[in-house]
Amino acid sequence: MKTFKVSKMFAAIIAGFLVLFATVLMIFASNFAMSSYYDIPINPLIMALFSFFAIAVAVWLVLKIFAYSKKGSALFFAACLLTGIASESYGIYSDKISTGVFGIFGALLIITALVFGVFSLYRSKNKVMCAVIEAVFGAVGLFLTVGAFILLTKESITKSAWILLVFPICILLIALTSAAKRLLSKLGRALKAVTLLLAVVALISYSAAFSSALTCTYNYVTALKLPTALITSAYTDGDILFHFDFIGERAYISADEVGDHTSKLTHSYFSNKINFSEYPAEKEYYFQNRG
Amino acid sequence: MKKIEIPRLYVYIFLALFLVVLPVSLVVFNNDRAQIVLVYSGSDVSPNETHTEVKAAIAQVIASDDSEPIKIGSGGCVYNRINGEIAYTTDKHMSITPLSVSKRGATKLVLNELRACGVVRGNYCFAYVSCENFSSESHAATQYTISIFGCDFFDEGVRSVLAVYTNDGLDSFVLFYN
Repeated sequence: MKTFKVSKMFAAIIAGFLVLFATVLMIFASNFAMSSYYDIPINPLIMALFSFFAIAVAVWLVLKIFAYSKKGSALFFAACLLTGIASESYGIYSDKISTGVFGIFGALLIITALVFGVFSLYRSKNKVMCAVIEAVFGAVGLFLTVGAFILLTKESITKSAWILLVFPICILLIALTSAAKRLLSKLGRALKAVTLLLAVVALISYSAAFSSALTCTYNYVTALKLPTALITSAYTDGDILFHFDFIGERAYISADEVGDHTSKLTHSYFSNKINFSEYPAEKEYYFQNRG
Repeated sequence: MKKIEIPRLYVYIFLALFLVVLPVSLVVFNNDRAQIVLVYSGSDVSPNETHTEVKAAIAQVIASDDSEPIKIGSGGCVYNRINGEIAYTTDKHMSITPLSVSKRGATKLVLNELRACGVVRGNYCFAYVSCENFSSESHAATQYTISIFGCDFFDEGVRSVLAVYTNDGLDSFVLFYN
């Protein structure tokens, strides 16, 4: 296969640019999602998908850059993680709810660092390490798959919530196929293709769940964890889901956007149940001025 | 510094995805947004008043220094200025039967009414909905408070409507303008 030979510095700049590009895409996705009528809006889904894909390519590039350097890998992991945490913390500090560019940029840097860390460890070919990673992913996948099944039996959950079932199953299957690929070397190539396909399906389904979460909240960080948070809530709640209330977070619009009124919003995430929010400012204003 | 090798095929696929597939798919699937921009003059604001009456009322409200409500036409609607905003209300009372529409359904209904009145039109905006059941001795109702932001991503000015939708339809709205 013909190749391009590029310097490591250039590849690193491209990787950095990809993370920034992913950030911009996320911001656009959020803006588009907020004005959508649909549970799973298509346009934000595409943007989120490409955003995660850009992150995947950035990780792939960094893995290539530090392929033969354990020290370099460790340094990059630490630097990327710390920068991500600092950026996200600043985002949360400055915006209160991490809606700004720093918040999502930090979150994406943390994702980049964690994915890079896991892949670096997995590529070390240390059997124990590989088995541990596969076991952890398998357990998480199984936990979320069972949770998603329980969730789908709840009355208040909408039909489109089936998307929440897809990515946990994919995670579980990826763990299984990775283990099989390692143990059954004869089927290595075929299983690699299956794993890649599962990863693509997982990415698409998570992007769908994430874009749906973006219709509920401006807060990217909340939106990132909302799919798994809702699945996990299936283990603890009865038939009534509390959504954001249970998760402990609400979506806020800054007072600047609506003049003198501070709006508190609680939207349902894959739920038919109407959330009863408190709107003291609007309510008072409305009853004072309705003539 | 050592160089790394990247397969050309991967680079071409990547460029094709980001430079062709992404923009094309965004254009193709660009139909799921609420297509609204707020206008607060130029056509009928209320179904009960005429175009000219409403325009005149809003102009009067904007020009007036005090916050005296202005009642116009035969529709019985009241326009007034409160804290720099124009408010429109009807004298309707909420009926007893609670509404049984979803939040999104309520948004669509309100947007349709606002569109029919000529309050909103054109490009997209953000819409948020809250829903509350409340009751008093005389009546109970479900009230949908819908905030619609006429905010183009590149538009500096944010226009917004706070609309209240009850069993009787669009009960009131407030226009915020910068």
